[in-house]
Amino acid sequence: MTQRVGIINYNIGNIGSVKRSLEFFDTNYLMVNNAKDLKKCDKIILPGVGSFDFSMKMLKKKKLDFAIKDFFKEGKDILAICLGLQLLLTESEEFGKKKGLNILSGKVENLKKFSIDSPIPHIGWCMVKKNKNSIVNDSFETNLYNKYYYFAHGLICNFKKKYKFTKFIYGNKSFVASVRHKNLIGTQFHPELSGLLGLDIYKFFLDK
Amino acid sequence: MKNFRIIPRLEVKTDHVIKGIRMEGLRKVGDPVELAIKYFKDGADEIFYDDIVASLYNRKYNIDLIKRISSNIHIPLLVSGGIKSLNNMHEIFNAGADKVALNTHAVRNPHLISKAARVFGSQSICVQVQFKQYHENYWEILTESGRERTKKNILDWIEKVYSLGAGEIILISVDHDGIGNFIGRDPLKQFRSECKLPLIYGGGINSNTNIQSLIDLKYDGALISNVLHFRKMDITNIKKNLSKIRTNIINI
Repeated sequence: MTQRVGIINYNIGNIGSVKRSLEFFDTNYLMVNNAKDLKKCDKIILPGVGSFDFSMKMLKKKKLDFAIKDFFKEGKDILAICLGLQLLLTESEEFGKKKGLNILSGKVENLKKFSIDSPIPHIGWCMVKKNKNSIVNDSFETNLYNKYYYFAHGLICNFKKKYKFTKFIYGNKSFVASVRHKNLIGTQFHPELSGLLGLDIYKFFLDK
Repeated sequence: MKNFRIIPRLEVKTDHVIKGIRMEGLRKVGDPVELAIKYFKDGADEIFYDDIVASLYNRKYNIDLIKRISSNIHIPLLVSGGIKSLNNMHEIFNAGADKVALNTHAVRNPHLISKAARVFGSQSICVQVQFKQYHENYWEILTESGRERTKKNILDWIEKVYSLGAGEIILISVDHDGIGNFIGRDPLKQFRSECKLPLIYGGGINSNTNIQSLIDLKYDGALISNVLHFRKMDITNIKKNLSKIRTNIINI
């Protein structure tokens, strides 16, 4: 049977590019609006659109917050993009302190705190680099190294635990570009907006 | 850092890409979907779809066309023209846009910017600022495709837009638009120093030297239209000749 991929719907809308990437690989997908929808999925994507507060409220309203945590615990694959990744952390400081899903231990912090000399939000293409301390187990990380991906964010992930991650440099500071943790892939950048190199990430996720 | 963006601007009027001089005297130059695909394959960093008559004639943007463009490219699509409300934005994002650029309606109702940023996140909300010089050191912003004066000073507006939570600003000099004559270094420098957000410039760019000066002045991107549509410049060539630009592009 072909796999079914769910796109978590925060009712914000700019997920056309995620759908397009799935359609590129003829993927069978559905929009996930509640825990029942989630049960039908083999894998899910948390798209990177909207604000933390609005999206988190929507997840709670749709009773998807605990359902997504269970989905992760069952060992099913998750791809979390930009804000979708940030929602998985313990808390965020976008528009005041807000609690996240706490699947990854860490805090979402405003780039403004880092007194960097470049405009905020960070919008544009940026090179992904190897993180020295990261142990590489498969081709996922190595394929990202020294290639450009599209970023659009004003907040970054600051992890409290040692996860396997790659980094990018903005305004002379280095931040998390992607993370791997068990059955989870998270990217701060947008694979669906990063040309054909970005589509490779979808392929990796879909082929897992 | 190599994150300067080359952004083709497709000015669209009733299904055609057109190009005018100082935003008037429009002539047809091609099919928006075909041009978007071509520029994507050439290595564009983003596509700017600008419906230039939506606000002017109080018409609605063409959702079907936005859908057709977005389903054929794998880079960000920025959409502008006649966007009045959060509902409009929902519809445009649903059609596959990744960012929206507000202009006329943000000037009329600045709180549209803050409302939009709270729902969609600042990084998805861009403000398009069309401006014209009226005196030395006075540039006024215009609405409705460069037709209506607003009595708003560009420097005040840049600050206001930032404080309302926009994520990016696109400046278009109406004096230079479509005439292949680049704006002076001094105003560009002044705008950059007053703007804390990512800043894109368009209007009269006609050479790699123009683009290089934007890079040197720490701009984040260049909007290019005429010279691309009429094949006086091409993106592959721009990327070959300039540093600080994403180059390892495999889009074909």
